[in-house]
Amino acid sequence: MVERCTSRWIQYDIAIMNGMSGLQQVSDPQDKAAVAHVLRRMAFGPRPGQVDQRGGAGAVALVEELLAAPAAALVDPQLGTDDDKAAMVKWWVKRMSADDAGLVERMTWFWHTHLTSSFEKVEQARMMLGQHRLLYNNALGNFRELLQSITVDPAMLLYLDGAWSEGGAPNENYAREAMELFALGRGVYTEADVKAGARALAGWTVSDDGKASFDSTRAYDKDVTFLGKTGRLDTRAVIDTICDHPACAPHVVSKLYAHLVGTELTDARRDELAEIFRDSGLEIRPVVQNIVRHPEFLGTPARYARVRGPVEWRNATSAVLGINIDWNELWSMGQVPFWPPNVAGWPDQRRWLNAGVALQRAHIAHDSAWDSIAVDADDHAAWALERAGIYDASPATIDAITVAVARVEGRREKCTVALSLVVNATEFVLC
Amino acid sequence: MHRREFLKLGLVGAAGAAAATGIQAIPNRHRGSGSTSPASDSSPESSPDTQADTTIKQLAVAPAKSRPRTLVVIELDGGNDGLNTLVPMESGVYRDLRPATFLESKDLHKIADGFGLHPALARLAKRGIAAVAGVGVAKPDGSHFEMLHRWWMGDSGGDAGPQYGFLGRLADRIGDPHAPAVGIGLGDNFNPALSAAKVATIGLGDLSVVDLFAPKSDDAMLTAFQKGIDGLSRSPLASIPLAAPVASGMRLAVETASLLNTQSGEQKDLGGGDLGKALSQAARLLFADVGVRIIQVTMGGFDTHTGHRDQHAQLLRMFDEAVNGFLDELDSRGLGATTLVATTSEFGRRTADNGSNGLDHGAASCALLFGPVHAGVHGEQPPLDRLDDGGNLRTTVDLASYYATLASWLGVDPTGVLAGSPRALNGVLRT
Repeated sequence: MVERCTSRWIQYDIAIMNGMSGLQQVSDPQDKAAVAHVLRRMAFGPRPGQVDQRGGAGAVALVEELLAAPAAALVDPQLGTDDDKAAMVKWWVKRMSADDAGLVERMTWFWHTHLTSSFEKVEQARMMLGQHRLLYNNALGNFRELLQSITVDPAMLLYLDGAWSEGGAPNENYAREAMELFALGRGVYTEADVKAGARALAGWTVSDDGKASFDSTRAYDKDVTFLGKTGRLDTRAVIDTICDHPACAPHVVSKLYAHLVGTELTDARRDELAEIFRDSGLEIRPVVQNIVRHPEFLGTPARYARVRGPVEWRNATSAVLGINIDWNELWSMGQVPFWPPNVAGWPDQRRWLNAGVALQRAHIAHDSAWDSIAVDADDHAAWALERAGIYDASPATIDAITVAVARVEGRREKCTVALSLVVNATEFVLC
Repeated sequence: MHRREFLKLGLVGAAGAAAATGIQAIPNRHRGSGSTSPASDSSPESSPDTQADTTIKQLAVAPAKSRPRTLVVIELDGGNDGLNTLVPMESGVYRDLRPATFLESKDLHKIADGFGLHPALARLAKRGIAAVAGVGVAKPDGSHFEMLHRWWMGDSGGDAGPQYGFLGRLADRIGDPHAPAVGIGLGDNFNPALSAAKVATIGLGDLSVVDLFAPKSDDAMLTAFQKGIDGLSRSPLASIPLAAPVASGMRLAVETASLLNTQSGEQKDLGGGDLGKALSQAARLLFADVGVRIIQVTMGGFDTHTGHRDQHAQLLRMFDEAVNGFLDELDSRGLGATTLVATTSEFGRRTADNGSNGLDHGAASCALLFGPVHAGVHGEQPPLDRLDDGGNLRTTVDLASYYATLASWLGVDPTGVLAGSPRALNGVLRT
């Protein structure tokens, strides 16, 4: 029995089961589309079949389920190989592609794109693993703690030159990027703040076996004035000052909102989220909860308002095709986990829409699809769209796939054409 | 295959400029029946099997007069240290300021009185470089992203807010709006510098992806795929804002690939790593004469906060080998006289060392030009004993003047593409 309810916020379907829960197939395409949207945004799905398996109670209930799911304990990858960096990438890509990859995995990915370090400069995989665990364990935790910890994380100390920075002639890289990118945004601090922050942060070193330690003989031993605060500031005080700055909460919530919702963030909504963030003591979970529980998260403007970056696209395409696309293909698309090209990560999602990346997607899809699954179907286009979790395809998308399928004969041929095209559809490239 | 044949196949349509930062998709790009490239009018129509022969025959030397002027920009990412690229040998304070990173006069390549080039630039020094000292902006900023943005957009003060990139604006002035690509970015994601209003510009990771769109009427699967991609790129839903840039990116991909896969001939190995590879592709694109007038390639690694000496030397060695090979290749194809090669970089490095054997972000740097230029030193070396408040070299040649020089090379009035009334530098170009 399906009952329609109107709440203060949103109209949603409640499937009321007699004695059974979560097993009813979702039949309303509107709701399937909403369920698919939730799985795209809060996880890396939907994998084929997941909309039916997990969406029985509707999209709103699924949001709660994903919020409540505990983080799985991380099992370290096998390192000490000839190519530990590749092993790390493969390990993480596999986790993101798992059936149960949920909100924690999604948020870990988000934090990696925001608080960046890269194998471009960090040589030891163990160090990146340490940072990765930090992000995973704090993905929905406390931002202040996260920023404190990552400031003295060995991989970050190497990546942004905190390591061996001396008080007398400090390296400015971390101070600058922590303010500009990680926590405050531009226009909020001065060059003098960068220099002062760099002085106050100096003194850290990283040992050959990847341990960070503080050497007070390398530290700056005088007062600094940093973001209006004067005194003998140590590392904790610098990061606290940054977190206490009024620009911090709005900056961080804006990034979270962009990643989860993708539509324009109004000043009022940003301030509302910033207040929640501050009131909670800079806890990330309450902000994320508010974002995904708000009606705008499921509303029409948020649908397909984000671009599936190469990592997300590769994961989703592998699932749809039923094969594993080699992670090395990500190089050609311009996004490899643990290898952001610079400290800004991959800031502009629209770059994934340019012709060069479109060509790569077509190339990868075409090369991979012959080995994908093959079934008999009356309508291969419809079959492919369902596998791809697209329940609201445009007429142009449906037509293009249908007409192309009609041009070939044979079950395998039809499936190949249908699948290779569906992963290039607008509704699959967007998310 | 003759270029016009592609227009008849219906593989081109009402697409717009490549989607990238801040670009609007142009909904109507009128396709006239005429094209304006004299060289391609003479190429014979041929079947796919003989195309290889035909294009190899086309690798004869083209007479210089029939070639339009082209521009190749090499973006040195991270902030190239101009002071160690073009060293003012007579400065009394150079060694004092840079105890860890100075270069010995005897190792430099002397190219003018009091000026020597970095030891690694051996081949290019011998060939002839036009080095412009003191290139920068009046109000420098220490942020990569702010300064990259200014260079990409040709916005020296950072406040003019142009909608399209500097190279895109040039492309709009000189390019054929019917050409599939007037500006191409190679080896990296699409660069905002190339974003244009009227003509098509595209980013290509690698030229080999274009093979996917070679017409093969006897391959039903491939043809179905090609037609499907074509269909998917049409009629984007107005209700999804991102659908239009998805579609236009795919359209441009299809058009450019369809054209380039038969026209670009063989790839030569120039040495010089990734830069050499990108420049080798650039040479093919220019020689194919399909309307590409501006090519941009990027070379990363110049953000030398630590380990400057070795890193900078290695980078400049690669640069020397790649660019020299490229200039040889251009000469052998008869393109040397009509191709200007110019570097850009977001800023130079700090005048003094930073105590981590590195150099922090700076301001003014030097720019290098090759090809139809007067070798030697141009502009004005900023004094090392009169630095700005940030300890950086003062700008003596504004970004706008440098860019005005590039504009005038292409026959574009600088005042039409740059704010203020900048004038091209005297004596740099052999016009």
